[in-house]
Amino acid sequence: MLPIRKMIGDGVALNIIPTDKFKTNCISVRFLCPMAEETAALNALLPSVLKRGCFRLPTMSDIVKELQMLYGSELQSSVGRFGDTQYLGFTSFPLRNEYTEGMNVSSEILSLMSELINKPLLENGVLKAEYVESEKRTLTDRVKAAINNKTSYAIRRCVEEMGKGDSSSIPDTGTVEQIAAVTPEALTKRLNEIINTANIEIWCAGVFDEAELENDCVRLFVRDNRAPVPKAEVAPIAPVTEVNNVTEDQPVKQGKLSLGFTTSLRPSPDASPSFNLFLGVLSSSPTSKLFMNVREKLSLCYYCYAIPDRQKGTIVISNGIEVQNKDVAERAILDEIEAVKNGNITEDELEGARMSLISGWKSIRDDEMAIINWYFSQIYWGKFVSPEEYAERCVSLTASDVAYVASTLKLHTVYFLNGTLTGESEDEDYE
Amino acid sequence: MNKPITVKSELLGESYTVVTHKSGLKIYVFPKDLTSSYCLIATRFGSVDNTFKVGDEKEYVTVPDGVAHFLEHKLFENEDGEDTFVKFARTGADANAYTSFRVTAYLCSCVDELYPSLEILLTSVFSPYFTEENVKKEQGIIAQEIRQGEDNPSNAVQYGMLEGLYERNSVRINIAGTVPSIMKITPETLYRCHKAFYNPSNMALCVCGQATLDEVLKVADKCLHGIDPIPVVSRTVTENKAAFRKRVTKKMQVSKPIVCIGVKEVGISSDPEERVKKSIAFDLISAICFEKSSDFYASLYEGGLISPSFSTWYEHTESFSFFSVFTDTDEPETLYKKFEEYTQNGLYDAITPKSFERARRVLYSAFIKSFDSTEDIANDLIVDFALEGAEIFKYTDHVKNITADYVTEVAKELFKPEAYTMSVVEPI
Repeated sequence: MLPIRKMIGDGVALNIIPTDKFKTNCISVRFLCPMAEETAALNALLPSVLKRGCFRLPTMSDIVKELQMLYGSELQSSVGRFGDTQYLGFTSFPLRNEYTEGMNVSSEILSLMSELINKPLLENGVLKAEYVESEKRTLTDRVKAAINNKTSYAIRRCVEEMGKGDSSSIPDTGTVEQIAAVTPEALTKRLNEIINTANIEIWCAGVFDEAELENDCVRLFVRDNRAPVPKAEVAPIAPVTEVNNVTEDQPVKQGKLSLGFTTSLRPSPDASPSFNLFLGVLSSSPTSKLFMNVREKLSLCYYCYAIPDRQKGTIVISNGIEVQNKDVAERAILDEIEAVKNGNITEDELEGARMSLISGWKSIRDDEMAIINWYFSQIYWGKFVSPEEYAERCVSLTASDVAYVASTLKLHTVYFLNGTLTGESEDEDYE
Repeated sequence: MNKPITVKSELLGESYTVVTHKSGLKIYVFPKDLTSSYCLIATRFGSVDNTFKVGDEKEYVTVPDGVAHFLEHKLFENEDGEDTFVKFARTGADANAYTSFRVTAYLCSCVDELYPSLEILLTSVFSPYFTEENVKKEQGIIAQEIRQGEDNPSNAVQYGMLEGLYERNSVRINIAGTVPSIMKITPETLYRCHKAFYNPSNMALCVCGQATLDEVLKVADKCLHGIDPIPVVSRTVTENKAAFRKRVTKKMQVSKPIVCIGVKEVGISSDPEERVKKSIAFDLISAICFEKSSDFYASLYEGGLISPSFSTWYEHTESFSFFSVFTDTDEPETLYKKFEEYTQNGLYDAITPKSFERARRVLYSAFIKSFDSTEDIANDLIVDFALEGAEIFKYTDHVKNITADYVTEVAKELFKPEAYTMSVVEPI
């Protein structure tokens, strides 16, 4: 069943996905605004500052205690990106009424989300300075800690290199300097801007009294005289004539290779199934070329996979290898892409990828968050396309459809994190 | 084969059927009306089982570290030269496997063709095929998996904590082993371990989803025959309550120090339901005394001593038991002192009727939520309950009947300062 989408106010959309398969509902409220240097750090800080305390529940401990009494509901704050849009908001999985002795936890959770945003804890007219400073410190630590996880670090560095001068190079969190510059006044101003100008997407999957839910959402999130910003037009990353090679040394044992490609294909209901089938043949299915050849046959790595950003038209292929195998691994990956481009795809590879994709799409129905994310990514299309419809479209695709997708790929950046430690020498002390 | 038994939970509105197959394999069928079904078969063979004897053997044999995990990688390879993943691709199943301290599990999820997928799973698990060549190839892949783990500071600090707590228990050894230890693994080692631990009587299977017992049994009959149950015994070691080392320090490229403070517990009951009860007490101690609602968390967070990465990690199993806290901090020693002071005094004041009731609701709701996923059901039922000898639906009774006094008693026995260690990963 497709979501029921309704504009319930200026820039406020309510999306309901009825399903009675789960013991919990899923509620996600997201505030969308253009990704911009000036606001990235402010947006990233807001949800965590708001979760520290509101007017009625002034401390973090008060909020958590309230959530625990709401049958252990969690309230996750999130900041994400979607093309050139940044979104922030809250997600929760409240138990359905059957398991809560009649308490309507879903309605309580929606009220709490609205309360955190609309009735914040203010001191002298601005967000509490102590909370702002403390969350700035936490976010700064998180930005600095990105270096701890080499796998994601090497992927992100490749994306940054590819997106120089583009919104995709702006970190979700803002930079350390941008975070340091945030004041309680600026953050309070940003909160008011978001309340008045962000596009609000309310997503609810589960069992609801739809009229009651709509009433709740209108009361909690709709304001008069809102002026929502127009949606950000996505600018895809352009191909380059000369490949950008970047090497960075770090004191680790394993080298990390990231190959960044651009593609001219834009996401759409027509293009996406063949794009996904291409990814399946290359990387994401159990019979994929990267898994079967680069890992299993050449024994070069433990993982080797592709991370697409459909909105920005990029794909990063990432793996972890012995440092001296860099050139061999790079060649091996490029050879596999070349093979797909030339239509050199076996029946097992194509059918394996197809079966795996179709199963994956059908089982999206088994996870409320996955259903919401599936449809959320389509909000600018003007219509919703179900996972089942993708599965149907996928049935008739051929090896030449897959080869066509590969032919749109252009190598843009080769990023290598060069590990400078060798062998078993470890710097360890015991007392 | 004995008579199938159906176990029901009124509260959850769920039920499953369990039967012991003639091969000795315990089979659980859990009907669930979701799109995808999930099969999981697991053996009581984890990284801690590195010294064992089979049947009436007199002497224990020690195998190289990381062998359970190595074997897990190798079982999806077949004599016909076709990888098990390729076979699964034909039924559209998504397959995987994992190894923990205590178990090795193989699993697949599928939308259609459940029984053919189950057949592929069982055939792979019970048809070992190891050669010099395919072992050598896997050494290259696993070496990269180990390197990746060694470069991960969170892994390093957690293993450091276990190295600090334990002197002899193999839980102190990396699940995947080390690059030198896996280089010692041969086809013979793998066959020996397979024969010892992959006897169906040492294993359990769960099929959760659109499944019936009759059809599952047909597949089991086809794949499992002619195997006699032979018991395997892993060597047990005794540990003192006191931690082996007070500090374990490693240097890595991190933005600030990462610490893990561990507490060893040696009071482990031989009764599985008692162990579940004590695990619940650990859950409650974590929720009441260390989570975001606690004054302890709030004061450390507001004082800038911990970050939101602050979390607890604990396990209470038949072969080891520990409780730990993890965070990044600029002042490891100050944090250690605060932890020691708190666990001697303030912690007991945090356990009030109100905080106890809130924490119990959290546990109750997390348990109910776990029945929304065939994957969670199969994993919890087999790995956390069946292989440990406990029954999953009894959990809610334990949660209902547990008292604050019992939790306090468990905390008093657990938090003895001599049992503490601190592992630190410092910036280079």
